[in-house]
Amino acid sequence: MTDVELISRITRRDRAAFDAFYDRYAQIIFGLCLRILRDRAEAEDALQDIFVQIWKEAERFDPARASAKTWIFTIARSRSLDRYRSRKSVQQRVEAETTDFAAVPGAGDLQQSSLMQQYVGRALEQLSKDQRYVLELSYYEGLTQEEIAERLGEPLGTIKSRIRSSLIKLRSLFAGERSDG
Amino acid sequence: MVKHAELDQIPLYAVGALSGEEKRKLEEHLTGGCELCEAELFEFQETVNRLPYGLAAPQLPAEMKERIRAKVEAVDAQKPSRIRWSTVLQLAAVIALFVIAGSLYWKQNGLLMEREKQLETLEAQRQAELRDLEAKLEQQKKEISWLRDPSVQLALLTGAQPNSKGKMVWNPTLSQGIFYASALPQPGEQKTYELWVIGNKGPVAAGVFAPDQQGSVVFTISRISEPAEGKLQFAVTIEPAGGVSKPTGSIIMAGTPL
Repeated sequence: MTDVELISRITRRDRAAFDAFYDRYAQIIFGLCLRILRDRAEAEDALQDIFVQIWKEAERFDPARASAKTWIFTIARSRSLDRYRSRKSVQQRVEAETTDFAAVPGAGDLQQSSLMQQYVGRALEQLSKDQRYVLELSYYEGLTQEEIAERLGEPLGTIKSRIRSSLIKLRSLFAGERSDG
Repeated sequence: MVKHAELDQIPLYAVGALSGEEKRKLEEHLTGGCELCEAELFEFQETVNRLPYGLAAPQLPAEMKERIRAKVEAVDAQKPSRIRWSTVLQLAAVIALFVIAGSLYWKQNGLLMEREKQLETLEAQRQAELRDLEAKLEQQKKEISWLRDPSVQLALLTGAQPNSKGKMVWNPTLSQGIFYASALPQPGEQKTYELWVIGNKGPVAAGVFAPDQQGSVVFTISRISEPAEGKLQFAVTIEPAGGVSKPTGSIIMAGTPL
C-alpha cells in the first residue's frame, strides 16, 4: 500500500493503517528527531507528538501539494526544531552542537546500517565538507541562510550558492530514483 | 519570455534556509500556480527527504508503538465523534441553503400576503362603489316609474333664502317620496334639517337629512310615522340633532303640490 493510501485510511481512523505507517516511518523519524534534539528522552517525546499529530491531521494532507514523505518529514522536522528551540537550558544547546554531520548517540543504539543509509551516505560523501556543513546547519539546526552566513562569517551570497550547489549535486546523484507515495 | 529568478530560490526553500521577504515572495509565486517552480520544488523536496535516510538508525524502544497507540486513543476519547471539516462545510452549506430558501419563502410569502391585503381592500372599495351605484340605479328607476305614475305629486319648496330650493316628488298611494334640494347651508352645530308632510292632522315627521358639501340633497322618504291625508303641504325646518316628533324650529322652506 502506498503512503497516500495509508494516510487516506488513517483519515478514516483505520488503526491498522496507522500501525503500518508507524512501522514504515517511526525509525527514520526517530533518527531525525535524535539528530536535531541530541537527547534520547526528548526525541522519544517528540516522536510520540509527531505521530499523534499525523493521526489528528491526516486529512490535511494534500497529495497535489507535496508527497507524503515531504508532509511527514516537514511535521517531524518542525516539531523537533520547535522543541529544540524551546529548551530552557542554553548549556544543553551548547552541548548538543556538533560539526559532525553523522553524529549519533552511543554505538549500542545503532542498528546495522541499511542499504538506504549507505546509499545516501555515499552521495553525501560526494559533497565537500563545507557543503555538507551548510546543509546540516539549515536542515538539522533550522538556521536560515542569513544565520548561517553570520555564524560562519561568510558572505550571504556564498552561503546561498553553497546550499544551492550541494542540493543540485545531490539531486543529480539521486536522479532516476522515485520515492514511494 | 518568463523570467524565473525564483528558480534559484527553490533549493534554499526546500531545505528550509529561506526566510523573510524572499520566502514570502517565493510562496506567493508558488501560490500563483507556476508549474515550472512547482516541479522544481517537488524534485528538491524529494532530494531533501533523502537526508534523514543518511543518518544512523537508532533502536526504537519496544514499547514506543504501544505508547503512541495509547496517546492516540486518549486523543480520540476527548473527541468521541471526529469532526470532518468537509462534512461540516457540506452541512453548513445545506443549512445556509435552507436558511436562504426559507427567508426567500417568507419574504415572498410576506409580499404575497401584502398584495392579497391590497387586493382585498380594492375589492371592498369596488363592492362599496357597486352598492352605491346600485342604490343610485334603484333610486333612478323609482324616480322614472313614479314620473310615469299620474297619482304622483310634485311640489316646489321655497323659503327665506332665495338661493335654496327644494322639490318633493310624493307618491300618496305609498306615502313615499323623494326630496331634492340645492344650495342649502349646513344646519349648524347640534342641528339638523327635518322634513314634514303636513296633512289634515298636522305635520308628520318624514325624516332628518343633511346637505352635502355643495348644499345638495337627495332624500328618500320610505315611510312616515302616520298617514298624511287631505291636501298636503311639505316643509323643512331646522331642529335639534336627531330630529323631533313635532316641529319646533323655524321653517326653512315649504311648498304644496302643483
